[in-house]
Amino acid sequence: MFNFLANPARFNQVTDRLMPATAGLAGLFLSIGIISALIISPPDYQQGDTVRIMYVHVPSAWMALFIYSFIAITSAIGLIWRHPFAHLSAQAAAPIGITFTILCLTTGSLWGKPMWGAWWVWDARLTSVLFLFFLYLGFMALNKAFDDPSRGEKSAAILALVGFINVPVIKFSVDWWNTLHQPASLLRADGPAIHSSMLTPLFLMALGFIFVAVCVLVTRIKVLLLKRRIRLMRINGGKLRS
Amino acid sequence: MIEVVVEFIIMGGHAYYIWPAYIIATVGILGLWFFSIRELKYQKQILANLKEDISQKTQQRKCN
Amino acid sequence: MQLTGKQQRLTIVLLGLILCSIATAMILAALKDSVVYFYSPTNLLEKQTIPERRVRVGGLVKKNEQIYTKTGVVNLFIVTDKKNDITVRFTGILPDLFREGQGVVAEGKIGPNGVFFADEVLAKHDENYMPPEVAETLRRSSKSKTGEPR
Repeated sequence: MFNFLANPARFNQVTDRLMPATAGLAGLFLSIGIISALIISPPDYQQGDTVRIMYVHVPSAWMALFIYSFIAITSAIGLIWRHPFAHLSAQAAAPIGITFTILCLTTGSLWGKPMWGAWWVWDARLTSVLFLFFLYLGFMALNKAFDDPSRGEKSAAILALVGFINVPVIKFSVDWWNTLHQPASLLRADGPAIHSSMLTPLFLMALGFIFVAVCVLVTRIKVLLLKRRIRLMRINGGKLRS
Repeated sequence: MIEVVVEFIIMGGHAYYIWPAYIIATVGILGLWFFSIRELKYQKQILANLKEDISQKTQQRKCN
Repeated sequence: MQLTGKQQRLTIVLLGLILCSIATAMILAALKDSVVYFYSPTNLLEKQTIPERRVRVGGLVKKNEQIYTKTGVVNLFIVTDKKNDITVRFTGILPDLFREGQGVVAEGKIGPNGVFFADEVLAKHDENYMPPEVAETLRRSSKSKTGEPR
């Protein structure tokens, strides 16, 4: 699939056809999700209405981790198979990942203040997510740090791979150490600890986030493909006629 | 009716935390989408200009 | 055995990942004490910490007593990990979620008499989410089974 999509003309052709449906699904899931999250779903027995922050906070956190994993995998493919399209996808995904990380941190802070009594604490979960934010930042900076883009790609990919260790640390931080953040509610041994009426908006929002991320990822890959083409045209001057 | 709306906005006294969270999420996601689209349009424009430049140059070369 | 360039890079990446995970695991194991956000009462009693050092203690609130003084309300509550208890003294406003049976984290110093003087109390909530009606039904059903509230 990677080789199939790596051809820019084919990539544009396939994605142009799928884009309206993906964007439509994103809009659909997000609008139903928001109605479900803010109006239909019940308040929590302990946290009251603040539980509604969960429906943006938790999907953001999932996306932040998911996109980082995507970057790590595509970086590995780029390093091992020397596939330029892999590096390009990783580079396109980074701004999306950092946005979701920022959303996760800010909504978490807005949730922490009324429930815990603090905007921020330095427990293992919060600190490791903040570290994820800096990894994204470093990845994006390294990509631009060299005059030769292929060197930037390579060093950023190495950082992404080394930083991948942080992903399981984030996931299991709440189990390994005493944290103020509560343990996992969904992916745990005894099954979800969230009532079904609250799982519905959570999954709807998560689906909406995924489809939005796909739309933005495709758009950003197109941007990077165009940039690469423009760069090549400029280097080759008038020689490249297409 | 009004009471229902007011109660909805107040969010059980936690409006100050819940609404900003939703506003930040909306702005963040829409912003990401908007800037990506704008960047794509911008790059397409650059490419179009570049192509025009090149075709002009090649035509000039042919005339010479 | 001759490795091709691709196989060589694959080996380097895999080896690098393994080495990085080992290094991270070692660092985190060495830092264990500073990575934990709070100690349980048992930890704290075992540790015999210096009285002047600021620490955090966390557990469930067993009993809360409010004493009204001239300067304000003093909260005296017991934090337990179901093995050991510690009495916490705190002047100030408690978080909304604070109640008996709720998880809390208190930050402060241990006084000479074993009482923990907290200057900040944070509530810790658990991973269960449900509507109030469901919680009520659960509470009732567990009450009728065991004769004790959950």
